[in-house]
Amino acid sequence: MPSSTMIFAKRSISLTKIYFILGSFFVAFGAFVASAILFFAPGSSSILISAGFSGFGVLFFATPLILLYVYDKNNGVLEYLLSLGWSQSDIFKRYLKASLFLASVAYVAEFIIIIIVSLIAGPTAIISGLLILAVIAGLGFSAVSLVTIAMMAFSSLQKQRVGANSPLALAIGVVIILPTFYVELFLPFGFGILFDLLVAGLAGILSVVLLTLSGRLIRREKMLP
Amino acid sequence: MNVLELNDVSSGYNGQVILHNISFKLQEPSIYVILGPNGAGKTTLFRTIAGILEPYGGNILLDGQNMTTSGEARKKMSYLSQYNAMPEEMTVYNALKFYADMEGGNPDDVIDLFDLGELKNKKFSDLSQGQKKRAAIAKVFLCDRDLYLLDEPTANLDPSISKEIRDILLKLSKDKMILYSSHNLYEATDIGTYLILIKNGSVTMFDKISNIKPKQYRMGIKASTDISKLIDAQREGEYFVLNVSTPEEAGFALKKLIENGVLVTEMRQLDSPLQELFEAPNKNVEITQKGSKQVAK
Repeated sequence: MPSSTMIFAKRSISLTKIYFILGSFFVAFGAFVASAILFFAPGSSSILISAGFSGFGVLFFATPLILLYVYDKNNGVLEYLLSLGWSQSDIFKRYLKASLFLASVAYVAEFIIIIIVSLIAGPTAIISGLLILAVIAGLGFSAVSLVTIAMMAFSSLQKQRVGANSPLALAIGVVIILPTFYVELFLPFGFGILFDLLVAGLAGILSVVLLTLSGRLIRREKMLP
Repeated sequence: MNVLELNDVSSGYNGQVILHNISFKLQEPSIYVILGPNGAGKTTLFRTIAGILEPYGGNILLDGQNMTTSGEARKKMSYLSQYNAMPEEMTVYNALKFYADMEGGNPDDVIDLFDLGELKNKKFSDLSQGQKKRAAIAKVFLCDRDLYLLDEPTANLDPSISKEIRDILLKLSKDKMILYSSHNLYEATDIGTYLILIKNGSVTMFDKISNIKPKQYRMGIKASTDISKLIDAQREGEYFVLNVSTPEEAGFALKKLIENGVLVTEMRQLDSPLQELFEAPNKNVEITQKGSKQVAK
């Protein structure tokens, strides 16, 4: 992991700890729900609900990076980076990497818990555990990518300083993750997984498109204080 | 020797033109004061030279390389914006290291140079305004560059700290080109060798500050008695004000006062010689430096 990514990640956490605490709660609750279902009803589509909680956990972990971006824009750090010859895309990528790094911390914790529980619970639980981990990874990382890039790209709409801009960022992430809470009501387990992965894929594609076009779509003056 | 050249540069924000066809050429190490009232376009000019804003027209060359497109040219320049651009949550040392890791340089060198030793382990957000500015300027000098762009580095600082910062910059300017923006006339005369006057997005004058002579000098005199009967001076507040057309005339007036036994405790020029330029309406002027002759449009 490049040291600059770690530095950006650390800086964002030092700005606010509240999202780290919220994220830890959701990760723990998601792992608890998944574990309970893996033990008592392995193969049930209800396990998709746990992916929703865990996805929120991953999203909350990465949220401070969005705040850091707005903070750095307001205090002139982004302007200085532009003067060093960085392009808009260079800057976006640096913050995106750091947000994905923070998200991966939450995901690794979730991964370890679910794998251990699945191994204890038996063969059916292992398959369900691996599938739910795939859904959490898909929804979590795609939501984090889309939210981070969208918020960076449209940060000029965010006139407020640190803390005041988070609801919109989280709302975008919630739109991606929320359906997984209801999908088990309408679809069987396998189709539910496919649906969630499709949503994740679409969010991922949208992120890549936004990132690719960022240099052309987003003017440099939008990054100035 | 480095050469910075602006050729017919127009620039601005979101399609709105702020700078209009600016042209000038700098070709010797010195401090060039970019002087202009608030909103004149100083910051836009700096951002454009720094490659932050892409010019709508014209080009900017440093030693023949285009500042907007050449990474090599950018590496010869460092820019201090009006914002400190320092991660406030970090200590001074870590903030400097944060930038040193990206652009090179050694934080310890600038900590010594800017006398930041006692502050290096303090959080940037806990520093006073003057200390913050000193640390922010130190960041700009992390790497040895040929061109430094300093946008109002002493704005909102008290006079003694401003003087301290200007003294450091004067030392550093011996073999560097420093563009220093200000809207303070006294500061311009104190630090600058050359003056580039900018108004409404156009350069209206470029000359050596020593060449700029006022039409009239307003001298303030503090004396032990009423001197208005001895010389043609009128009382204005704490000073007797004498209007003369040359500094020599002021000298003769002082001599006369002393010969008449008056104790003069202070004599100073009340207006800056740049005052007239600052207040004069825009006009096209010819700008030159060391034989290179261009016209500011």
